[in-house]
Amino acid sequence: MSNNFSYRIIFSKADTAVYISHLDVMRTFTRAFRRAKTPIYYTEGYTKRPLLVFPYPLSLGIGGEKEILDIKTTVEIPDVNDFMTRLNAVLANGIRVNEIISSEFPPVNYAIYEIISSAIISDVMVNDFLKQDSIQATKFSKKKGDIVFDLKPYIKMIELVPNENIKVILPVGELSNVNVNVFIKAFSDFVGFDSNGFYAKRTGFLP
Amino acid sequence: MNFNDLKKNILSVKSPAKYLGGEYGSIVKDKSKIELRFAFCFPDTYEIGMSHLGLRILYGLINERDKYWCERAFAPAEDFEALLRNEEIKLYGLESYDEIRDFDFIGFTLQYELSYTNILNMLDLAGVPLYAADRTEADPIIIAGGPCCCNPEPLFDFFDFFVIGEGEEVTLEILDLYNEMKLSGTKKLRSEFLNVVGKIDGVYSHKYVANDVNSEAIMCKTDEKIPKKRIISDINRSFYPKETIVPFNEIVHDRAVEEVIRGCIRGCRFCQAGYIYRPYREKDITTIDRQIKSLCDFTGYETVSLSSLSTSDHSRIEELLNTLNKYTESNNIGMSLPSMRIDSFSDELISELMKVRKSGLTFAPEAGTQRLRNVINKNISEDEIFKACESAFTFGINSIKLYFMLGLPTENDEDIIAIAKLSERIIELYYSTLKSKNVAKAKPPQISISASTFIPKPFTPFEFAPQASETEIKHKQELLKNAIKKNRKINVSYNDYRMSFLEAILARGDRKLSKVIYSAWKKGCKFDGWDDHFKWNSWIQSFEENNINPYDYVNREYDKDYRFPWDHLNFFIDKDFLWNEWQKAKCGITTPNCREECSNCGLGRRCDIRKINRSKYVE
Repeated sequence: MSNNFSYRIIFSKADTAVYISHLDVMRTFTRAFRRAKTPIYYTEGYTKRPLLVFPYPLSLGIGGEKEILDIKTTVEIPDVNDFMTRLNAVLANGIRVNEIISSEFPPVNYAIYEIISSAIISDVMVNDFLKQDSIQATKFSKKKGDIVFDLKPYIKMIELVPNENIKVILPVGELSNVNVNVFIKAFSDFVGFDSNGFYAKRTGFLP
Repeated sequence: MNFNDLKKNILSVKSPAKYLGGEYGSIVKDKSKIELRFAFCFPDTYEIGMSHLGLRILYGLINERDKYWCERAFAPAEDFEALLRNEEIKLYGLESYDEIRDFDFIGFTLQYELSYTNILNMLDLAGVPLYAADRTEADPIIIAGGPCCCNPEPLFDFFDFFVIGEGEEVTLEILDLYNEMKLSGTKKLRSEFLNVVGKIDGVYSHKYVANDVNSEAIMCKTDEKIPKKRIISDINRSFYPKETIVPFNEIVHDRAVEEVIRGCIRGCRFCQAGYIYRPYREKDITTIDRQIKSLCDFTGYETVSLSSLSTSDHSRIEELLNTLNKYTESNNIGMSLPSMRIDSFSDELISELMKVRKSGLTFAPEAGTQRLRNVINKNISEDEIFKACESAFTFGINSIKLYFMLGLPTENDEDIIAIAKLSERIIELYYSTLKSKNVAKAKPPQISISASTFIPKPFTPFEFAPQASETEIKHKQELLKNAIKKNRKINVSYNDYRMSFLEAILARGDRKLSKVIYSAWKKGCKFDGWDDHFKWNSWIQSFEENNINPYDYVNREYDKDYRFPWDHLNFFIDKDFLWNEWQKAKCGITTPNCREECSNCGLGRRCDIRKINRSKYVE
């Protein structure tokens, strides 16, 4: 591993690409790297596969503006901007690389989401939602099934931004993680709207 | 339709990406510059349709024309069909989201008889009248091509015309003729076009009417020539896609596919593809090498598959594999070689194979005894099977899959029991091979037997043969099950006999079946080849309602003079030749492969095999 070079790829996932599953995004990048002749590092072992790490995978149906993919290459990439151009030329619609970082990767603990609703959301709704002593939410676990928990302590920030969209900051990562769909379900249940009328995108990350 | 119409409910559907297009390599054009629009419809799921080479070839071919735009549509799964119907969204092209009923052409590929009801369902979802007779100038032209067009009669009433044979050249001839008429402002374009399209070789149109007295005999309404199958002029120069779609989700064959051979020299008597894809043609090594490089470079696929009916028959197979290896190894690309005949396995070839094949090995002996293999002209011997297994075991393979057919002509109980014996001997061979190699801790061997039901298909020597009855098949399945019951290292799987029965009826049927297929679709039949969708009772009812006895199509032996519903279509296979093959089959006499000796099947000068054979020995 000593002679490898690490890069953090910041990409966006929009339009129909929002409906591509995480596994499919992984496959898409694997093939794009091959098309762009990237000297990607392959894992040793019986079945060699490129080492791609998506530290914060997105759920199906959620858009992303600054998604993170960490890769390793066997050769240093001399011109990162040129690499980005070549990669974008061979990526499917809706997936775009916007930045490639080769130095320090900042730590990530929170993610920012913007939630668009087909019905109008008012300040009152958001305030009433937050005023609850505890916010009942349900998350699904493959092992344990539905788990009911209090969402309130996990919401770092919530506000109404222009166009009646909700901006919410939720924890992301190994230590603590809340799926934005859990938030949407809890909020739509509270205000009595159909959760199918909400679309979310992740707009960035915070330390 | 636009994307927002779908957005609200699309997440309720399993793998929504397959209904949204936008894949890498899919072609989106500027609508305002398009003169002709074509919807390529595959009457099965996206995962199956996108694995189909013919779709990729025709999609690339049509889209190579700047002014033509070919889009795709697949049979939606149940959940997505419900969404389309609830939201009143018509079937659309994946590239533009425009409704395909507004296109100039809707073309279906007929790959499998049990997808016929899906065609009706897709036309219905598209909002197009199902019967050709009900369509008007406002409707698109509905056409079909593909292997099942060798007997398109059961679907005759639904299509405006059929394209017989290889599509690479004739498709553009058809579209060019139409476009010429369209641009010249032809009034009643649709009907005028349908009146003249029959002059193109390979087009089978509605000018051929059924004789009322005996609907099996098809008469030509005009003095037009007999529809004959199209054969492309040169496989090395014929269109082959350089840029092809890479789906987001995993499809059945998720890899680059290079066709290396068309046709087959073997003449297995049950195999329809072996006859209707004649003559045998090989691609040159340089062509294959070039096409694979451009495909892999464009797609980024990590595996390439060499496709044909029998890849090891390529006259320069080892040279080919050596050439390809240079490129694939240096680019971390695996090579997949399905359809290898075991009698052609040299040690060198096996070691090539083993480089990429780490899982199991699949053989298709098709029958349990040498006698029956001679009947079906599957000329491989038990020794060859053992030799190939032994090599595989040496390379560390422990699982072998064997394909057999039940209900073959002249089959008896002994032939069935021999299947079990053969499997047991392969297991013994496994242990003795490993013992001689001093392998101490061996994984247990696993033999999987897949026993399907024989289907007598048109344009094969067995077109004269009856299909085994339900009682017979049940007996044979039971017999096989009992013969191997005690061995846990062998497992057997059967297909649903009734499904093979329906497949045989639809493969051999005449025009009367159109109304049966319609009734079955009305009763909710679709995806008939899928166990969880197959509704046998609804089919039986549909036959009854239309006063048709399905058994009439499959349960009897035919004589030489019998007029089959497909007899009027010319596939360049002489009926006399097929009849002689059938007689030889019943006596267990084999026919040499085309490379050893020409058996005068009817292709005549259209076949170049002697030239291919010569080139092999030139060096």
